[in-house]
Amino acid sequence: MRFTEEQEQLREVARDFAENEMRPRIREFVENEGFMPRDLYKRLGELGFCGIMVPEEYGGAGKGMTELIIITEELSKVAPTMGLALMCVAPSMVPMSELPAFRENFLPGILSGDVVFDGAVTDPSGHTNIPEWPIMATTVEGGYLLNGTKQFVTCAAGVNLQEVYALDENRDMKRFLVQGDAEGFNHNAHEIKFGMKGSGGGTCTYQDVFVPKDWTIPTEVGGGVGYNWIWLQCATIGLGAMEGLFEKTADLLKSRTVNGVPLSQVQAVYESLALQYAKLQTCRSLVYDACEAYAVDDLDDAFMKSQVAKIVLPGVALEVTKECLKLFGGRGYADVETYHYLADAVSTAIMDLTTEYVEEELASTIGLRKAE
Amino acid sequence: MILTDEQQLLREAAHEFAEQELRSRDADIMETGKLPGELFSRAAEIGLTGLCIPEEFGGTGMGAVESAIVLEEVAKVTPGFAQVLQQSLVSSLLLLKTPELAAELLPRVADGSLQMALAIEEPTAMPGQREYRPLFSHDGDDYVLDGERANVVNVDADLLVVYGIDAQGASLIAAVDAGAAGVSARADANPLGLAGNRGGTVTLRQVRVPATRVAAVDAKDVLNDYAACLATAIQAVGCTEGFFAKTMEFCTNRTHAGEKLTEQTAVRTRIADLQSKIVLCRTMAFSCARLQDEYAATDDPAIFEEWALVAESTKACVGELLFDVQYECMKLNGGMSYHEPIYWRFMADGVGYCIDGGTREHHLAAIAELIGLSSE
Repeated sequence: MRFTEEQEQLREVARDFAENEMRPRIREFVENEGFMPRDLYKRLGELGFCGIMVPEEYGGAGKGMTELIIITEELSKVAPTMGLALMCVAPSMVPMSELPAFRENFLPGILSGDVVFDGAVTDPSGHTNIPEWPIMATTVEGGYLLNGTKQFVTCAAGVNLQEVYALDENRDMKRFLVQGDAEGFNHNAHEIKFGMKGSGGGTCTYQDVFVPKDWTIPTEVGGGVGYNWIWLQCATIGLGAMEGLFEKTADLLKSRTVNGVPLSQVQAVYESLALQYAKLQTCRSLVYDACEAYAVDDLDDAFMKSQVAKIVLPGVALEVTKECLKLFGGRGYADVETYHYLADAVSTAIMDLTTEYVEEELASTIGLRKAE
Repeated sequence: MILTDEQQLLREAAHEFAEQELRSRDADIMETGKLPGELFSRAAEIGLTGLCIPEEFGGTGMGAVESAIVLEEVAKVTPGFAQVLQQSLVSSLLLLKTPELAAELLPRVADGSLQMALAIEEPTAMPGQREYRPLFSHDGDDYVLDGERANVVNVDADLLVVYGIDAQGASLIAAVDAGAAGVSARADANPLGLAGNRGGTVTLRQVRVPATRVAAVDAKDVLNDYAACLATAIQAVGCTEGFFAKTMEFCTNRTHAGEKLTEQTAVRTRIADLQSKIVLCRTMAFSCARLQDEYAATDDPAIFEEWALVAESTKACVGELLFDVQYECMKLNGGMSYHEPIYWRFMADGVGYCIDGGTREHHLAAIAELIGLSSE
């Protein structure tokens, strides 16, 4: 893909932020079981990243998927967690900004980075196991009461505004907006996750949490693109993770010698690393190919490629990060600034539905699977 | 695999140890990275630390199959502790090559009063490489050790079996008291996995060691350590079996839209595929163990040759094949596996088995040499 000058400038801005502001404080991400430093999250807003795809008339930058993916890639090269935090907010603000009440009450704070936004979907019985989901919302005077539990909520520990997917008494799915300090809402998650440290992800519980009627969002809002935007972004986080560790490994090759020979002259080593580079470039081409399809509104092609990316990239990201980590040997295994890329990459195969689920979706997209 | 009655009893004892002594402490070990002091002596009480030590030195004089059985059972629950046990098993074998040190030290390993750890690697170089600096210098009847050893498992050990070379390049091992002047050890602060293995770095600053505690070794015994290949591989198997058991539990209890997850053909096939890979790796590891025992009994060079090839191949293949299995287990358990340490720890540990004792590539190079593709 050839980027416009403006896109290249945006990449510079994202890279400068990641290298100059995030990198020196990387331990505040990778050793943090809670939520990342708020001042760094706020920078996502100040730099215009949270509203990158929101129309200009609503205070956003009015850009498209390509721009969001460029930012996600650059942030994830340093801390995939930051790519993840952006994934929780940037795509959903596009449909949400079309709702006047949301726009007035919540959008400015989210776009400025003062309000951390995320979505809570997974019921303990399973993310897509909706037939077994309990009824979580009951109608009361002026709104609803929420009762129940959501698991694996990405920014739980830091959230200020959450969109909760829940069934009402008629088993209709609705989205409910809950503020971080709402009474009965417990999101103080400190779960010890494999990777993606600093995302503050974990379990949320709701005990008689009152949601005014105006703070519900019909499910059809944002329904068109469904998960496809998220899947492409998720794949991009994996891409950033492999690029980040690849760059560190390339530096290692320059500085180490074996039997007096620089590692960069050892055939088995440089060939293996070239192979990892080939894999990550193939993935990168796919990701930006999907972006191009979004840019010209060829949604069939864009969705197909987003799904392919979500299926293929996590596995490749894991392979590439593993091969790189092996070159660091035991030191890499003991160094969180090195190994976090591998642990982070694994999440991309699991979050927002596992590879196997997306395979089912792709089978439908390309007509291999008969609709039931 | 058919076990003798004695081996079967040993498996039951190791299994019981893992379930009763490790299972309840495992969460704590993962959280703190520390091992409760009594664990090692508990293991010694039922003979796990003296497994490979001959009866004349207070051990039970068993072989590779038996130590594989024990390491597998322990690794199913706490892979990091299996690594600590391995240190005693493998360093016992190394010490057996120097009878004086063996007679002095091995009885104390067998009774659990002494923990040993091997210290071999330099922070930035592997043995045999030119960057590997001399550690030993001669001073009268004593030796003076000066340098650093990285990736040492069990830095809390009482006794360090330190490998190094002198200025002439001769290979030596020294039995160094952890409390001796000039010795300091620190555990890695935040490693990816293998919690409780107490991995870290040992620094030796002008450490004086009497010649009686130093012995010449064949570098090959340290560098191409086929016993260590097996020990690492079988732990990878045990660790993956531990994950597989948790995955089975999850998939057989979980329902989707009112139907058991295992009703889905794709899920059943995937689980079966994982099982087949575990069986393959386990079978490979135990044939390796049998060859090791056969060689120990016969001293037959033809058996040695086969053992060497099987051991290197096992180490080269098992870690990464099982890493794929661990990844599939992560996906089958979904978000649970990423958020709950009792699931993801098996993958974090599994990565360690792809690195510890040399990566796949390191062992492929050894295989190339074994089959006559020498680079010289």
